Amino acid sequence: MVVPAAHPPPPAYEWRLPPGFPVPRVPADNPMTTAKVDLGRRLFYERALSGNGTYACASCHRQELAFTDGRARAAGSTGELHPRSAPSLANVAYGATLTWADPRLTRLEDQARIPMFNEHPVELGLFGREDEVLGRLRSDPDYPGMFAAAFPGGVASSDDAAPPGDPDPVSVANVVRAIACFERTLISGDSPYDHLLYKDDAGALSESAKRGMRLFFSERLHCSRCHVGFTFSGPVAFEGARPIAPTFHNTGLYNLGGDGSYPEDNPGLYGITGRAEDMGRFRAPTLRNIALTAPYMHDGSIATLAEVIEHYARGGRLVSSGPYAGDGRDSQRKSDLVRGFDLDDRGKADLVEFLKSLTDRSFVSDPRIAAPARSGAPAPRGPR
Amino acid sequence: MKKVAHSKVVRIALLIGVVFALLPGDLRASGGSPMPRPSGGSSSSGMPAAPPKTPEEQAVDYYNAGLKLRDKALALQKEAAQASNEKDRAKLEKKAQQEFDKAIAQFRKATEKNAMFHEAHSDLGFALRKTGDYPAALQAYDRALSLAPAYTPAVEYRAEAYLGLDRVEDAKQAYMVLFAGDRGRADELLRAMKGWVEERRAAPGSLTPDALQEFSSWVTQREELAGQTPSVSELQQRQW
Repeated sequence: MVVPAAHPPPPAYEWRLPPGFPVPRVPADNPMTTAKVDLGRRLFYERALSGNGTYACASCHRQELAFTDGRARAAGSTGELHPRSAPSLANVAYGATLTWADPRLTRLEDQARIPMFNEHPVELGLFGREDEVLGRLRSDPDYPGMFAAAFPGGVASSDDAAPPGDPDPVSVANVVRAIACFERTLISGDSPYDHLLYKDDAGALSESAKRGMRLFFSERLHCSRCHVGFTFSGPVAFEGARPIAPTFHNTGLYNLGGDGSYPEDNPGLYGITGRAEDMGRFRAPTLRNIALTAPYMHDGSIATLAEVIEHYARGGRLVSSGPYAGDGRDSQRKSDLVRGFDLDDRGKADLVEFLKSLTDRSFVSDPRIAAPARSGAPAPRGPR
Repeated sequence: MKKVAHSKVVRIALLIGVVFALLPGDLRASGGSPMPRPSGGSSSSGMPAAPPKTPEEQAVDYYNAGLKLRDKALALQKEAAQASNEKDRAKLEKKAQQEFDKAIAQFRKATEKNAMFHEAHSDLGFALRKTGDYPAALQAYDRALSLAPAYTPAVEYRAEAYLGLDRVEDAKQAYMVLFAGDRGRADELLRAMKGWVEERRAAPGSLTPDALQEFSSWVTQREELAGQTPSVSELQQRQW
């Protein structure tokens, strides 16, 4: 019997965290290592990782758009539309839950499988083509070595297609692990607002943005009730933190038939729980880099930040005609937190200026998280 | 052997540092709390004689004695602040100063026995600052932070010493360090800064009225920002 050689544990991963950011929570079965992050980065941008070889994770999560895609609804590798927009991956490592409305998804390792294997809609389109895709990776000049460096034990987990003890580290389970490690490094905390907060740079925000900041945090507008803390989102998870129950909100975006219903393909948390009170409830997304991530809301149905503010100021959206007609303000399912507010044009403009101050230019141009150059090939122009 | 004993002291000191950071503000009088002896210690009668104490163990004994005196001095100061008449207040304040002097002597001995004992240097700084010897206090805090740069009690109290010397820019820098790394300490320093502004308004120091006003505005702005920005631990306590 051949006993595999023991591998020394890799050195502890060195996080480069902005001030005020805790160490992200990392699953014990997938510790962070530089080799895994490097591999995960390469795979994140890898089009061979889709069934038809045309799409990568980065196709829907583009760095220059804070890892969104600029579309109202994401499109998969076959062109099929997803009912929801691609959420930003900025600070995704801290999400108590992942995606728009699924409380069951708390680990990036689990979430990453969804776009890979989803059939309705097809996203990366890997279902049934795992061997073909893994074959592509095995025949690549770089990947076998990178997998071996990232997973020196080599063995796939029991949830993988490979037989137990298989020394080949090129496996779906390891693909997922590596991508999750890379995604945990997508940390954004270097915006003008952060410069004001942590570098005492009083000039980082314009006077308009400062007025907007006061409005944002005011009791009257209550924006920070849901978009809070270092991520400007809902509940967070990090190392050493006790678990916080996820929260989901119905913001009165729809009120179909006057009973608070949402479009059938986008019922929010209701789609998971089947409970009427969960109709139209979605997670509060991060507002970091929000100026780069239009269009807005879970279905991209609001084009601009100014219109988003109008929606909240009104206390719900009025859709006056068409299949989605209804007044969200009157929805019986709407959150009590969305109660509307009076704000003049200057106040609204100030609020938009503050939201723009959450844009982290270094994050969207950081070469360490950009598409890597391939050996022996010209650097890709990036996914489209 | 000496190295082993010293590493034990350092480990205990680090542990206490961590525990310390978790204490609520009103329990963090000066940064230090009594330390267990690293090893050995006096034996009760009938037991075999304990080996002589190492310098590190002696340092911990001096340090703990200093903390007791410091706490006594702080209690006297609190009593003085609540005194009903000026005579009693002055008397109690004088007693407090005497206790701080005694604490200084103990902390000095602790640092002489173990020059690497950053908590002792820090608490020496605290006691010196309480007696109004700001330059000496700064020296002690500097030494503590050269040994343990992340020891936030020393960062905070050195900033209060800066205030005593009207060095507001240095105090502001210290606040920024604490705001990023230890919000409890940062909040405590901000409260001290507000108190200092009031003191200087009543009894101006070397700062011009304009400079004092500018600093006061800065404190107000930082207070607003801090109020808007829940710390990581506050996010844990929050009702979502």
